[in-house]
Amino acid sequence: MQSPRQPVVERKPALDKFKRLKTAYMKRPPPRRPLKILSLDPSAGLANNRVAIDVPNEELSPGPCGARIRVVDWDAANRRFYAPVDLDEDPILMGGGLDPSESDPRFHQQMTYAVAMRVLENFEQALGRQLHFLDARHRRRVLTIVPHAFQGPNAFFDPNSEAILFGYFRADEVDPGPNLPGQTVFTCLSHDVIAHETSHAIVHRLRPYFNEATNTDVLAFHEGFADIVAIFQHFTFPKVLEDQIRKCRGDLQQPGPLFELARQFGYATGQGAALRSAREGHAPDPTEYRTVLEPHDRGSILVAAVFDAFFAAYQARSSKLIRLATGGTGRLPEGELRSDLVPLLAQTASRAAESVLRMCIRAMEYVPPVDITFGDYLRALVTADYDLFPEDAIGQRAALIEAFRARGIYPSRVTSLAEESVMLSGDSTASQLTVPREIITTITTNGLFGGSAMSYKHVADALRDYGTAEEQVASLQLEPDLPVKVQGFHPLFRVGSGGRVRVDIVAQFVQTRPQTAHERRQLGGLALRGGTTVVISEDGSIRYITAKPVPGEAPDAVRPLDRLRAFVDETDARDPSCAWLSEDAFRRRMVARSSFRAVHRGIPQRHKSSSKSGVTKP
Amino acid sequence: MTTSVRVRMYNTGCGDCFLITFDTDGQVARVLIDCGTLRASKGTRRADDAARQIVDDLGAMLRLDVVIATHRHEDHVSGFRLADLWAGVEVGEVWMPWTEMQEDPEAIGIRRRQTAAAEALLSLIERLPAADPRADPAARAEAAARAEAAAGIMLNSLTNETAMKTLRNGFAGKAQRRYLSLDSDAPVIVRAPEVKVHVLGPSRDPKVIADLEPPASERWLAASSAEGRTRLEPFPKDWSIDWGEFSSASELEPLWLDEALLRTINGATADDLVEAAAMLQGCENGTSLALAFEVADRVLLFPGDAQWGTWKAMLANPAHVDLLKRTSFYKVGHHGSYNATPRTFVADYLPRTARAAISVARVEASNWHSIPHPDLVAAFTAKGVEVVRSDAPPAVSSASVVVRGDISVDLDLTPDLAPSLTAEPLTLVREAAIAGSASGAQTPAR
Repeated sequence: MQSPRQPVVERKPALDKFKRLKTAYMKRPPPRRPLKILSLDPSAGLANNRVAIDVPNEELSPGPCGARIRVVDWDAANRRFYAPVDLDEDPILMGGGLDPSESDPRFHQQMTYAVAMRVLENFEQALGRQLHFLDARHRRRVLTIVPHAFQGPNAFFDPNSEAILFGYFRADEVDPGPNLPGQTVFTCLSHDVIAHETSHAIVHRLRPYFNEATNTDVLAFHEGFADIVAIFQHFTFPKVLEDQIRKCRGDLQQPGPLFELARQFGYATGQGAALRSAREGHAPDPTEYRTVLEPHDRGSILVAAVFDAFFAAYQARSSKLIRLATGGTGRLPEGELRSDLVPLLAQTASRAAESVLRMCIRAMEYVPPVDITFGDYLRALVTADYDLFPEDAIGQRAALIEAFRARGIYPSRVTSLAEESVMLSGDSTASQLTVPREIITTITTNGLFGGSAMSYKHVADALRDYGTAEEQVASLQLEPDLPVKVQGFHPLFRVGSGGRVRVDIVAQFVQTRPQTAHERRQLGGLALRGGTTVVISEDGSIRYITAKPVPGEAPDAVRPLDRLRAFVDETDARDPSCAWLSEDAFRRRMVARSSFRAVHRGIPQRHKSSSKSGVTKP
Repeated sequence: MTTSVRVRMYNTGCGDCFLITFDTDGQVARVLIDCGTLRASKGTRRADDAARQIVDDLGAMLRLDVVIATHRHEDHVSGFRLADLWAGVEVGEVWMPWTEMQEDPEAIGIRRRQTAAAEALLSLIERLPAADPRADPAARAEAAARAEAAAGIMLNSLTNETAMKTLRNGFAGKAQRRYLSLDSDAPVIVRAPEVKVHVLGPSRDPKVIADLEPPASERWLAASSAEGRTRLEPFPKDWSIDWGEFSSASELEPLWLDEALLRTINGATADDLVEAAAMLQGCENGTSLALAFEVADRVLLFPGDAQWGTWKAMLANPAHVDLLKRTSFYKVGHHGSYNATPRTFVADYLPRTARAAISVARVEASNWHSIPHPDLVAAFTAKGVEVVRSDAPPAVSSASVVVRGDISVDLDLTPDLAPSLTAEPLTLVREAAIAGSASGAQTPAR
């Protein structure tokens, strides 16, 4: 596996006289780079508000500018470029990064870089492979972060330019809330906003068609998933949890304290706290999934469900500890005992968070290439986790299924909620198929040692030919009369329970049915796409497929076109701007509604936000 | 007991003005629904003309049984500002949506917030193009275009207080004012007792009312009070260099931005004026009094400019759906804009024997280009529903559609009612002829 350019330890020429110091061992750079970030929103004050984290060490030029992420501090409102930070400067290295500062733009650059790198790392560790951002032609490109891009209470990822733009605004332009009136609020100083946006960028890399809203869950999934990454990554910093647990006067056996913490983070991840629908003592309401349509609000249902699973995992791991520490009451006594046990509890919660985060990210390998629903994601979660850890040791999976059920989220065409039913079926007609050995070997070797562009094309062609061959096309639920595009493939190297290294191959096939201009206009610019994700084991047998056939006219089609039309109609009906669209805008209205910028407009709004009719504005 | 029903659509350009006449064995009741014109309407006639025409048409019997103002937008009420004219008209009852109540705190709150948001937004729109002297001409032109688009949408938002005063306190006789909501007792037209009036909206349910709240009104309020949006300088100048220096420093090459990214960043500053304007209009339209007049098993549907919130509740209520299925006449909402009429209503419930009226004219403002929307008109036509447009009435009158120049179009709905009732088309033609000669012999054909 190729890694980003590694810096080399430089020494003063005089020291080169010492042979020992010239050995590779001595020149080896440290694997991690320590940096500092703010743990809570700056309005909480800067005093106890820092966390020291570390990211993989790579060669950096001022910006910071690395191999996969660069920070460019261009301010379009003021038309200025702010001084880029050189994280290799001795004073900064010695201090483990710049100290948090609202007034030093270099700290902002450092923080966005650090959090984004941490998100990337979490994805890579969970997925077991290195990720590069790609352009439309599968060539590598760098993710650009612009920490002070514009004036406004918004932050968004732009897929076309592969950039995350952060806005800044004056606190009394919106409800000042806890901010000082007149204070400048920087969205780039919120860990959760940075992590949320970076998550969008990475999900877009893994599933570029997940920003085509073909059902009510698609955009909500993007938002909910990004919130999950933000919150649970935030929980993986034990220091943050420690402070909260230490201050806690409540019962540590209840979800309360952790909810409270997530709420403190989270106003900036969406329109209000991501966990608003999961208040302490508030039982999950299955009608919400049927009635709540706005992407952030709907996404928060997903977040709440995963939070339930997290809390179950946390409880399983920490219950003994809490019982011992509190004598069974659940409340920590005053004094010395507290300061010993708090870090232990924080570590436990942190590990539980990491485990849930990994599970959530791993599930991305098992989702279809298009038209995702929460039900699809549940199936992917359960399957991915089972694949790696067949025994549900602490009941995390069971808690997950229950949490989704309690919120009215069921996978489609599933007869029961027993784990084996919820999982993707390993017994479809596809499981009889065997992928040619040569393809498996080439993909694995390229994954391990790198492959050329030609090699990539060769494999893509071979896979495509395999997928479209008569014996396979029906089992893979692909349309025989449409060309097939191999959207991507990669090996998955994972270490499961018992320490076994496993190799699987994941491949995605996508098809697009051509439409007339008129048909496309009816659908507001949406393309008619279908696709199948295939998980293949190292011996070539197909273990799972998850398919979303191209929408069809026939009423008994797996994805009836009428349902898509009805969705477009519903979305139109709820959108106040619809009356005012020009013909051009009308033709691509569904696409415009799916833009991240449109969906994110209006964050953060702390005042009582009436949950609007649920439509994102073009 | 036989009833004849006629709907007269007065031409007010881009605006609504409908007069329903119920004639039950000689006892005549007249119901006026709205009288207004959009300021920027480019039609040949306006609400003031219609108001005077109404008075003319009433002749000696200067009486209206009911005057209805569906909501306070200019294109529905502007004609009522001719206070002196209306002072001579006797009115039995005035119906308005509950959001016009003068003493209800909730109604006051909604009105206040909507008005404040509208004022704030409009002042913002005015100030914006000039706001940024340092921006380059392209960006300023773009900002100006956006502001203009938003202004186009906001044309209706500041109502006419004189008109509202007339509605609240004017007219001759001691007109009874009724402020109606979904929960109100059904109002009655005294002289047309066989007509059942159903109020289909607005609701008083807090969940539905949330749609009437301007989305981020505090933000616009704050922005307008803080002397417009001043530029924020997040860091002192010595932290920065300008574009020229930045792009000429080759060591900073890894940080250079390409065209596409630069454009995206510059575009990110775009204000959400247009979206806010659309949302605010939606909120205000949501206060529309939506009514169904049920007579002899058929329904005349007048939804005002009701938006999705009201329609959704209607479509979810079996009793109301039953009314929709028996619609004989549909006054097309919001001058035929795309989503003021839900697709499901046209596709699934509107009978093909129904007739639809769109009261509209060309508007010289950006963002009104798709009103009425061709797809909606096509949907009606595809269903077989007869559509009558005030800006393009039929060239020749027929028994059931009588065109009076560019003054009004009469639709006789009596034949559509239950067959047990008889119609008297002769009366209509006579009336039209009298009216025609009185105002200078306008020929029916144009």
